[in-house]
Amino acid sequence: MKRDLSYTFTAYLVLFVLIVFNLSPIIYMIILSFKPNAEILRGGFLPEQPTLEGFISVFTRWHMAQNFVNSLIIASLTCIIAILAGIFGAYLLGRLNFPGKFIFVIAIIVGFSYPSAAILVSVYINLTALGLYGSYIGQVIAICSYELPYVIWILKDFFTRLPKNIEEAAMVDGCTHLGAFLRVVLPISRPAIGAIAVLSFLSGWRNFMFTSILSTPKTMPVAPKLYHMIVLGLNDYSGMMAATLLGSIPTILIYVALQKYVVAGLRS
Amino acid sequence: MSVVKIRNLTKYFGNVIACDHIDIDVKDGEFLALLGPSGCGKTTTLRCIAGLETPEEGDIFIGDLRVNDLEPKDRDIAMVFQNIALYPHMKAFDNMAFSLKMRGIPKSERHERVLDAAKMLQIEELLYRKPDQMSGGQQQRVALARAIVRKPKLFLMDEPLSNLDALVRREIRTEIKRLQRKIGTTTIYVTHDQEEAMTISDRILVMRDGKVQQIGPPMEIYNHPSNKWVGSFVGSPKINFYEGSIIEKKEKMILELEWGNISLPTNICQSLKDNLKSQEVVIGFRPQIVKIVKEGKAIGKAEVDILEPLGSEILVHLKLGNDVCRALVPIDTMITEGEVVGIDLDLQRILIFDKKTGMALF
Repeated sequence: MKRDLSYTFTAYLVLFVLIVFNLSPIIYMIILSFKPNAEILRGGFLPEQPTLEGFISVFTRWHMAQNFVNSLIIASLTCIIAILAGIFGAYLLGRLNFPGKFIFVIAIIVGFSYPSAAILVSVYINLTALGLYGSYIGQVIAICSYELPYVIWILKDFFTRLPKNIEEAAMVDGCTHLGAFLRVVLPISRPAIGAIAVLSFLSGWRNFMFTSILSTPKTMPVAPKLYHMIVLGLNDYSGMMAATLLGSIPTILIYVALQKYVVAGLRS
Repeated sequence: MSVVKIRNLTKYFGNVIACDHIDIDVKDGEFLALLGPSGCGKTTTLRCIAGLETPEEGDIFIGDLRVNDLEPKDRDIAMVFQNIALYPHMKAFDNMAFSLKMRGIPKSERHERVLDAAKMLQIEELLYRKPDQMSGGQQQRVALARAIVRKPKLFLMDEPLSNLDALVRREIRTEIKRLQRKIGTTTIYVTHDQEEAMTISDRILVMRDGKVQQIGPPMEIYNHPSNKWVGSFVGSPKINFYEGSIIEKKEKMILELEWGNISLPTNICQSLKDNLKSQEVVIGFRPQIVKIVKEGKAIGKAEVDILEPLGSEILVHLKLGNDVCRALVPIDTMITEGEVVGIDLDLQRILIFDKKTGMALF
């Protein structure tokens, strides 16, 4: 009994330390976003005169409404393309046999075995040559080139484990192979596809590496814009924190609201 | 008239031959069981008929139509799978109505036909449940209903009972037989369970290593196996085999065994005269025809090794010659382990095989 108590106490203590370690920058960010710049420079923890100056500055001084729209466009397109390409790619590799399949599987493994920075230069050169520099689709292709191997690998595993007889039953029942895929395999795969959709959307929303070198001021999403705010300085710490907070909201909301479904989907 | 006609069906998986030049004729309304051990090619044969595998050679006819180049959906078949394969995202009703919907049957007729099938299988209360809310037996009933709702020309069943527990298996086995008798649809049923094949089918086709070993009614397969392997595969408890040689003495034939001599009856002698190629043979006799005699005439003597009471009978393991002989005797037989008893056989029901080829001589 005594041992149980000390075990519980230690577990909670470790968890508490981890939570404080993780949440303190976020809490600090929230506090700073409600402080005037002058007060931030003076120090102190809680705001003496809470203000929405920072949030107003995000939209008036930094004109970030467009950046949020850009993030939304890029994240949505990343999600759609990753899902569409991912589903068909994963189905091919997980379910069908064709000559050279092994090469594709190796290519996928290679695809997620290097850091995204390693392909930055080649992606930049290729997309510029294709005239896609600065476009939304250029940024989306770059993000997908890195995200797709993960998406395909996770969905491939799901499709491989799905009993083949279910699809065959549909083919005997009156479907073509494609019909069986659309009418039976896809609806069954909804939880896994949903989880992948959420993760792809967040990858698109949070991407900094590719979007910072492939976007123009007009098509720039939130993540590289935050970096610009630091580079340009102007000592608008309150605005920076407010922009960071607003930029984090979709991630936090999605994780809090959908975390249960994402985990269940990935497990399925 | 044959509903299914298969000629020279050959299917390879790499270098392994799964179906080796198979010919089958299935008559209208017949229940044919494909029986054999795992990997013998029975499921592959069924899947070729369904169109889920493409054979390298051969022709498959369903009705008058050569179906080799048709998709599964165009072959007018319904299939029940080993792992049930209900659509997990659909309720039982939608599972059953799916094939009708795909064929453009109007909603009202779909509804009527699903209800009829559900009534036939007594699963009305399951219609609005999803597969994960049903037991294995209930799921298999829904899968059967899904097959019959289409009213196809041919039912294909791929070990539909092997994932169920013994009690449910017996129950659904009877259900399948009753259902098939009632609707009269030609059925091909794959199983590795010889008891299942014996009880359910009109004819059994026994397969081994992709080849047809024998095809015939269950009792013919049981009483007159075409070779030693079929004899050992069909029947429970397992058949006894002993090697011996045939000696001709005047008009009679004597089968000399390590543990005794058997003077063969005239009809067996006649048959052997026509078929015997070598003196060396193997005698096979099922445990059911072994008689234990304590006094009087016996072919040989054996020591009782182990007794296994089965309820209505006792399975007796006897030390006979260098091998173990199994005998099935009435439960009231007075016998104890370690006792030495006499062995007699119902000679009209023994089997004799060529030692070299394994082919049946009688």
